[in-house]
Amino acid sequence: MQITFPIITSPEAERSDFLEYFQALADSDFQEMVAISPFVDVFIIENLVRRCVFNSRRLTIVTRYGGHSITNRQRQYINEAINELREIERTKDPSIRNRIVWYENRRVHAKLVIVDWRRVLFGSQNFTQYGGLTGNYELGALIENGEEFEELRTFVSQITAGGTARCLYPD
Amino acid sequence: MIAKRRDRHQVRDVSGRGFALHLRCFGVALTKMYSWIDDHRDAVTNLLTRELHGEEFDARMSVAGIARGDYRPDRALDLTGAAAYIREKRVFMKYLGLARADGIVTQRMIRYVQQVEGGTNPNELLRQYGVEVKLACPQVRTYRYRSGQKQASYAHYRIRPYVMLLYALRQAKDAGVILNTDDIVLSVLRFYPPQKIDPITEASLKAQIDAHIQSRSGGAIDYEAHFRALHQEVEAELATEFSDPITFKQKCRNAANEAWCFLIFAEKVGLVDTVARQPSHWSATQQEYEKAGRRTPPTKYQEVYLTPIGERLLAEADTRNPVWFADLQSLAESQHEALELASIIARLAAHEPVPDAELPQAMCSRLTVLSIHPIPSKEGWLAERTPLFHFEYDLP
Repeated sequence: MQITFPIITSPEAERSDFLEYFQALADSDFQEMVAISPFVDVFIIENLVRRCVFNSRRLTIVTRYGGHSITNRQRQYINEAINELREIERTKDPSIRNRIVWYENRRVHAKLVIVDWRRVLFGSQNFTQYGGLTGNYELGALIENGEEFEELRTFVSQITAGGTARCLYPD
Repeated sequence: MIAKRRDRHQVRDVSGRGFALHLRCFGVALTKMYSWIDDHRDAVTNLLTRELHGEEFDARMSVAGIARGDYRPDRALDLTGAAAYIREKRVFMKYLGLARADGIVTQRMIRYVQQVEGGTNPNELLRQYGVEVKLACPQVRTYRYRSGQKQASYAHYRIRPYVMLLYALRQAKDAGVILNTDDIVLSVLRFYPPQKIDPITEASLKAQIDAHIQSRSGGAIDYEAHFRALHQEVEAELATEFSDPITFKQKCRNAANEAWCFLIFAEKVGLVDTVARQPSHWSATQQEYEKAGRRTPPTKYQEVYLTPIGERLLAEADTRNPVWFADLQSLAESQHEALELASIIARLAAHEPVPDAELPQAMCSRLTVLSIHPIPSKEGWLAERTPLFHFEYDLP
């Protein structure tokens, strides 16, 4: 097991190492990605989605808020992103319905990116540009394993199938 | 200030349409093109990118290009020229399947990046993509030429331009003829408006190419007369008469320049060899002119030869059956059905056997219309002549 620590985000030191590792994971030749963050900037999710169209990649997104308890503007952005997914499914790649899933879970507080169940980037950062990724003091770590983290699958399935979870896409 | 897309046709100084297909986007040194592809990759894959298209995107790309010294605006010192240049190069990337208008990151781009980062020369990949370029692929099929008030596009074309070029060179080689830039304009790149032959298929264009090569093999031909005839065709089409003699020169020189740009890519990736010469006859390439105080110099006159690599790729391309989404869309009764059909074709294109149950009779008859003939195999149906069709490239 290989651990990269600390992964620092510091506005003062102009460091956003978490973002750099996140970017590298997103650019990697992954087959499956799970992105969990209570708060997100929707364009970051959209950028992940754009990597998963016209191929066989799987993407699971979990956010804390989707349809309620957020401002009108945030709700509008999320709805637009969901509509974009529906549009892609309707006009371009119907298979995303079986490969891309977006849940909201009001009790989720973890922030992590899992790639192929072998690499986990996690920390205190929300996936927001001017908050967690570049604007706050945050700390994280990257763990890479030769084998899959089986317990993580259980953890993610609990987050996505628990009573507080709701599927935003596909509906 | 960045030129807006909707305004660009207003600033272009042309009198109606030209003689040749507009594929100028292929005219760039590949080393420079690598940088543009890299810039584009950075822009579309950056997790923090908000706006993937539009003027901001163009501006960002322009600034990067100018800063690197790839593009030196010879006009006013604003970003207009660079932005237009960038849009043209994005068309190049769209033709090659490296970019899409919707910003979806394509597998081709991912494979390209892997090759570059692995230290491999990506020319082999670009060559492969080049041979698969379709006119008009859905990403660029809105590309228009001006014809008076009327707007038309390449939507009636069903050809792979580089395959047509290689075909012309092979036929010329067999006939003992050396093709030059003028010949390429008059055969491979000659523009046929929709009403002339509709649609322009590879078979119909091959017949035109064969006819041209046959006339060449009979001895020297009067290029000027051929270009004059083209000019008259345009005049007849537009129901106008160009009084300014520069218009003819301009159209000839533009068409020759298109051919030169078209050949640059083919040469750089090793599909063809070219030898620059001074023509011994009247040539469209030599039609220099002066307009509005600016002199436009002659363009390059070249003789073009087929390379062994080009010959091999042509033989491979001949075994494929290119399919256009627009055609299968017109066959299907709904968007859903079109996507279903596309999915079957994409599987056949990837040599993936399609089980019997997934290929009902109705679907089979539609495939037959598209010249796809399913043949049985142990695992399911395969296509007799493998289609050339990729979801990410062929879907709008």
